[in-house]
Amino acid sequence: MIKTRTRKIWGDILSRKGRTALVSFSIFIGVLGVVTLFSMGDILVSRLEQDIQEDKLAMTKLGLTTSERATELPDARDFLTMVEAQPGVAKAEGQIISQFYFREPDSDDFDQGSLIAYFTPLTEVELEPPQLIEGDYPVSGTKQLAVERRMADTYDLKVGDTLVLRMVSQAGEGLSIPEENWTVSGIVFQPYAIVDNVNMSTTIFTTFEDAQYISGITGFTTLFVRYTDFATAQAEVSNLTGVIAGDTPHIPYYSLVFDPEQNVQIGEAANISSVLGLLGIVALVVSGFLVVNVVNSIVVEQKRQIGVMKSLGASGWDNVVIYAGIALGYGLLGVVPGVLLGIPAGFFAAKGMASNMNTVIDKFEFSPSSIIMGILIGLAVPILAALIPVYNGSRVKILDAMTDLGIDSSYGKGFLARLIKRLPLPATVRQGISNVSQKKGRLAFTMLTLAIAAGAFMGIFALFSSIDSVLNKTFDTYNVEILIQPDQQQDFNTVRQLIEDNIEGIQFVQPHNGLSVEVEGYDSAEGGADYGVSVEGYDPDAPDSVFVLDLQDGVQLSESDNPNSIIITAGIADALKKGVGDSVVITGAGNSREMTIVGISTFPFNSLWVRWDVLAEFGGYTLNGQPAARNLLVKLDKEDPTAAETADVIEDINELLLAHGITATYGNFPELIEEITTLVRVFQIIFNITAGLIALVGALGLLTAISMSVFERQKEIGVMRSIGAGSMAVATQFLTEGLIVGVLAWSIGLPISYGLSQLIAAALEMGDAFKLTYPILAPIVGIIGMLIITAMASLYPSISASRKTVSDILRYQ
Amino acid sequence: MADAYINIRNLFKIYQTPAGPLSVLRGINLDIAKGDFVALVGPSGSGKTTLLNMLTGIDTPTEGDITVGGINITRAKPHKLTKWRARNVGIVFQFFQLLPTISVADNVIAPMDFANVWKSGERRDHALQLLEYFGIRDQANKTPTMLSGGQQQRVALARALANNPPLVIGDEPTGNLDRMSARNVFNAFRRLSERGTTVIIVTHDRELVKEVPKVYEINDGLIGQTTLEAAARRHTQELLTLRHMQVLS
Repeated sequence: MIKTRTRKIWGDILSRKGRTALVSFSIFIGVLGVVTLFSMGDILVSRLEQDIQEDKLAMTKLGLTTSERATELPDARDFLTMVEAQPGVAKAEGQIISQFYFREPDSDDFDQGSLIAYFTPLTEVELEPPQLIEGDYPVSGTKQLAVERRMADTYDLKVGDTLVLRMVSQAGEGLSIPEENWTVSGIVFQPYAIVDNVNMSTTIFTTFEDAQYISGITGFTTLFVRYTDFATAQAEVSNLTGVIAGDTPHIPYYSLVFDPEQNVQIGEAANISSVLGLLGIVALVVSGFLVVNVVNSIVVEQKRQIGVMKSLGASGWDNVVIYAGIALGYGLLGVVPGVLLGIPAGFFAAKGMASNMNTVIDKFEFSPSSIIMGILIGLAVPILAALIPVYNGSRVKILDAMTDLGIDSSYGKGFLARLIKRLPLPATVRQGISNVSQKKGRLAFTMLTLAIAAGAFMGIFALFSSIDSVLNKTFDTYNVEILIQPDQQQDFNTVRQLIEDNIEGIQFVQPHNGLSVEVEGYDSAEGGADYGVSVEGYDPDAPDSVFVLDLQDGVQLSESDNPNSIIITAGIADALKKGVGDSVVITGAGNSREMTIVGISTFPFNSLWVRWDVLAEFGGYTLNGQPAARNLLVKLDKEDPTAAETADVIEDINELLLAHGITATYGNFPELIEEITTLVRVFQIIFNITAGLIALVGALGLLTAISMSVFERQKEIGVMRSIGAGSMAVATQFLTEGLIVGVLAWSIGLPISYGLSQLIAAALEMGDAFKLTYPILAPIVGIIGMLIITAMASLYPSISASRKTVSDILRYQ
Repeated sequence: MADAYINIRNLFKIYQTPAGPLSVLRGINLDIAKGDFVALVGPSGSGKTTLLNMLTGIDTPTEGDITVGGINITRAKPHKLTKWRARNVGIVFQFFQLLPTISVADNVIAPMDFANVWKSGERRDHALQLLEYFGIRDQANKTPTMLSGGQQQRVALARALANNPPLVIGDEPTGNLDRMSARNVFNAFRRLSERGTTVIIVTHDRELVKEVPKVYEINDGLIGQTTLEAAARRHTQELLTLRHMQVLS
């Protein structure tokens, strides 16, 4: 019995190779998507979980600068001891993270990178420690440095190689900056995302003393603190910043709080891979609809064969096994190549995404759980999809099978059939519409397939349009290209004059201060992190403001006489239920102040804006007792300069300032925008590929459905041909059928796309800043795409139908 | 007939149609002995095929009983009937009804697999013997569509005999064949009958039916034993038309 079933299964699968290829290919795509995307996520998450140890994560990270009181910084160890004495603090470690300049000995140009130095010896670092991969940690005073493995890969550096460093600490007016040869003593891997602006491809590690020697920075620039638990960290961070600001010359200008149990790196990787993996499953489920249609069609086609088999003694169960076996056969044909290709594809996808997740995948890895999932889902989907048609097939009675005329006696009497007959359209088009309405079950599944595909495509389009909109609004708010953050407090007017007098193409230089604060009554925590609320201090009275704030209510700061005026974002205003004229209390750097709201901004990320001098006074940024600008913002004359053009100006400014003994860290806004845009585009491409896979499966579904329609209507085509129908008339009928299905699917896909974009946005935890807007372009692009896909999918069967001759059909019949 | 292999008693079949009840069989009574070779004749719509369907358990009567080999098949449960049919009945259809996606030999093996009568190692040999018997052993590995109509019907015959059923039913088994093929198939039926197999066929073939020992005419749902000549006198025009159609096809 098993042999006949098996022979029948493979006989049927192989007898219609085209149909088998289409169904198996669609399952293959789904399995490939599931295995690749889940493997990618699993490999990344596993790697991150291996490298990132929860008990070594800092719960609070503070950015430190020094006030003018810092004529002499406290002893670093005493400072850490003081911090560790604060309530709830379990461990505190300080670092210098600064810019440095390096070149390879055979190169003339210096590159800029990040120098990281821990006060604690590298072998004893407890909070977010790097791992030594090769060689040794550098030894103080021996001109040794360790390079991050990604920098080693980028510059092909090995232990024992030499890098030439600029000793910017020795910069000064009239002095040339010395260059020194430093030896690579070791290669290290830093799996923790220490701070956002560190690019591991240009990062070195030195001892604390050597970092002071290279950069000229004497105190800590960052402080990592681990509390007894996350709740304590949240509760005590303001106390800590207050103590540091009040009792030491340090100013904590930003404070971040993290929940180690919800590590942001792992969370992001898991979220993205889950969402992508789920889209892969959607593709697979969509292929299941195709299986439903195909098995249904096979059962209908083979109704007589079922009857014959039953007359030979086959039971209902035999038929269930045969037709479910066909579905399983399709599944196997799709699963085997899907898994085999998905394994390396998942590895390469993980390898490609690794840099975005701050990790490295260097040797081949695969995810057994993803493979098992791909196999199970890949086989289960077609079998489950086939259950109903198979069950129906098993219930076919011999008598019905032998006497079936293929059409219901009530055909043509329904309202729809009568309506279609009366449509003022050419007969071929009416026939196409009629064909669609006849096979309602198949129509439903084909439409659902395409509707999900259209929904995914339009939803992802809407999602990324919204992300673009948020980013554009953010980028447009900043009317500057360069941020300069001197390592030591400088007189703003002196530096501005210096730059404006010596650097060409500068439109303006304006003062800026930044600080992260708490807003009374507002919870800024999102997920496992609390970044506080960023306050931007700027000069609102300048002819060209550095912030172009779009206000939904109130006025700009320049129009307010009250120095304690503040502009808040709509998100904060809504959360606090406050408006223009109300007051808010901000706390940061050991101070609290009540500010009056004068404007509500539509800026997407929750922020605050005040006058720079007011923030300087509040945060402790003073020079000679007067409010000082910690940063300078530079606007270039050139409209929309590129990152490279901006970098050239930064280089000029840096050389100028170094020549005057001023070391600084620089921010290149166009470069930042390019990086963010590139990252978004990478994700957009991945999401669109996934949506494309679903669309491809949908198109295959339509192709199969129309092909089945052509197959079933051979006699009808023969009759049409015999009464004079031309190729175009026959093709039009099936093209019409495909396009009608496409348009109907598109209309169903509209609400699906809206829901899906909301779901993906929620799953990705996009945060309060993200407001999903559904652009009108999404349905327009969707319908154009749908018409193209359906026309292409219908074209082959339509042409194949139009090529059938009367004699072909009669011979077949 | 006390020792009849098939007893049909008071058999009625009424179909419910949109135009009202349609009586196809109206009280059929018939006994057929083991090894009988019986032909059913009659005009289209007279109920011949309906009666055959009742005999194979494919259809159920509205009223009445059919006993085959001592088993009342009108009262058997569907799954029992499936097993009974697999082991006791071989059916030959007018349009062969071979499974097109498996080989000729596999078509013959299929009923053996379903009925589980033969040991699995013996099934292929038995199938090949049957094909040899019908002179198409060399076609065993081809698919049915590669064979002529006559060859396909011989495969269908081989398949019908796969489990050595005591009853073979043929619904117009020669209706779709040329004269030579029809004669060969008919001879095969006759040999079966001579070996003790009960054979019942529905046919319109005047030449062949002359050689059938027992001919029953069904007319308007009623049955009576007749000769072809008698039947032909009543249905000359229809028989001619049928013959014409067979020639055309």
